[in-house]
Amino acid sequence: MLDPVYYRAATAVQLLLLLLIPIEVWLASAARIKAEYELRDTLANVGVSVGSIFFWGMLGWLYFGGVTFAYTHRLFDVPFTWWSFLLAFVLDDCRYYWWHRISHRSRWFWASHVVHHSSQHFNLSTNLRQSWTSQFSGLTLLNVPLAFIGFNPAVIALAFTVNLLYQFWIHTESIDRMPRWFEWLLNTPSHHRVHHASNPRYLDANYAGVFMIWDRAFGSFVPEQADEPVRYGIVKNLGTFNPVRIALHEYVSIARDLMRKNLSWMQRLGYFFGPPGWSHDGSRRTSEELRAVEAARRDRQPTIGASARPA
Amino acid sequence: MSSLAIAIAVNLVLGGVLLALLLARRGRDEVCLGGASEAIAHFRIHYPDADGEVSVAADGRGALIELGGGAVGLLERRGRRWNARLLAPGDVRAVDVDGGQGLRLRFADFSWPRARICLDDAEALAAWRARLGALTGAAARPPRQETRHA
Ligand SMILES: [Zn+2]
Ligand SMILES: [Zn+2]
Repeated sequence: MLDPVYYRAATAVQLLLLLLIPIEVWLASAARIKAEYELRDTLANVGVSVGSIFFWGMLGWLYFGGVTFAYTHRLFDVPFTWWSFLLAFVLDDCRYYWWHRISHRSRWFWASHVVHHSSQHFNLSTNLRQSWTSQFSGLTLLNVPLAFIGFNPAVIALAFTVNLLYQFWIHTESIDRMPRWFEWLLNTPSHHRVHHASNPRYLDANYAGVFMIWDRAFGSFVPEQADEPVRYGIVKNLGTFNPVRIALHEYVSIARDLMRKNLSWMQRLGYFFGPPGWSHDGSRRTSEELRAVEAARRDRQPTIGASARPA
Repeated sequence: MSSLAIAIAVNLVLGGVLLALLLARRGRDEVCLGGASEAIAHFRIHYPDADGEVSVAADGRGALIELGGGAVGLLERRGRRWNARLLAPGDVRAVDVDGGQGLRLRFADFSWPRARICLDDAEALAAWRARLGALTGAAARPPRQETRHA
């Protein structure tokens, strides 16, 4: 288990980061920075967060149990030092990339992660809008390999925690671009704005946690472009600020699809594990289809620039 | 572990209260629709090829669009954002007249359970009530008849 000193340090850092939220609100209301808050949206974020912490408290043992079990059957003894932490951090960041990519590309996992993307706003309080079911979807298993190799569970948990804490500051519109080398190497507000966009061109891009190199290596990097302002949210935005509906809506949607009559087992599997937007009759659109439609539309109207968007 | 969770939850609740206070200081600056063309432009962000006759709500907070092909488009304000849905037969659960000036809609969609559209023209109100009533589960099943003013 993790040394209590790390818990305390992580809690202290988390508290300090949370204080940045009212500061961002304050600076935005004084028109010093670009940030858009809406009362009901932010309160919904807080509500979702309380639920997410509750379920993490209830089901966190699955994470620790899995990692500890793998560690007891480890292949090697990786020493508990600074370099093993750095190595674990990079490897865990790669694990995060694939966790994140799967979470966007398969509906059962998307049902858990969609919560984080369900706001039409993007500010520091968006950090609070986290899944209630992250331990429950099964992707926690991705944490097992590092422990099985022989990294101490405390090192793995610390790497994961630092990764999540890093991602706090990238949920903001107040920072335009970081220096070029920084934008190349690391995840930034600009890259993460693209990740939270519902514009077809930006869908399923920039899955990185900390290092942008994974997106560059695995072909999912899309830069933010001046001629395509980001529209935050999901393809089918929610008409509710109720935290329970926000947290569970996609599961309800999956259940309704599975209960349709006259579907083959392959079609049912498609509704469960297929990409979000998949349908057996072509009545919905996946990210690829949305992009193709958008591209065809642009080709038809080459003289029309960026489409209208809310002021 | 659980004391950590409680500590974080307490921090969050405190943060929420602080935020609510800060935001309450700030006041509201919500958006309103200027007209039918603005409504259809917002709707097309989500449904690019949509077209049809638009009824803008009297308070500018939403719009209904007769899309043809049996579907109705709904645009509704969420603070400073616009939300759009294509309502097909079976998507509407109930339509009620609310205080004589608005329509209160309930949907089958768990992620968008209800909406309210303010229409000050009695004729339009009755027509839309019938039109949306025809999209309710019960009405949607048999082949749809001519909409009847309720
Ligand atoms: Zn994501
Ligand atoms: Zn995010």
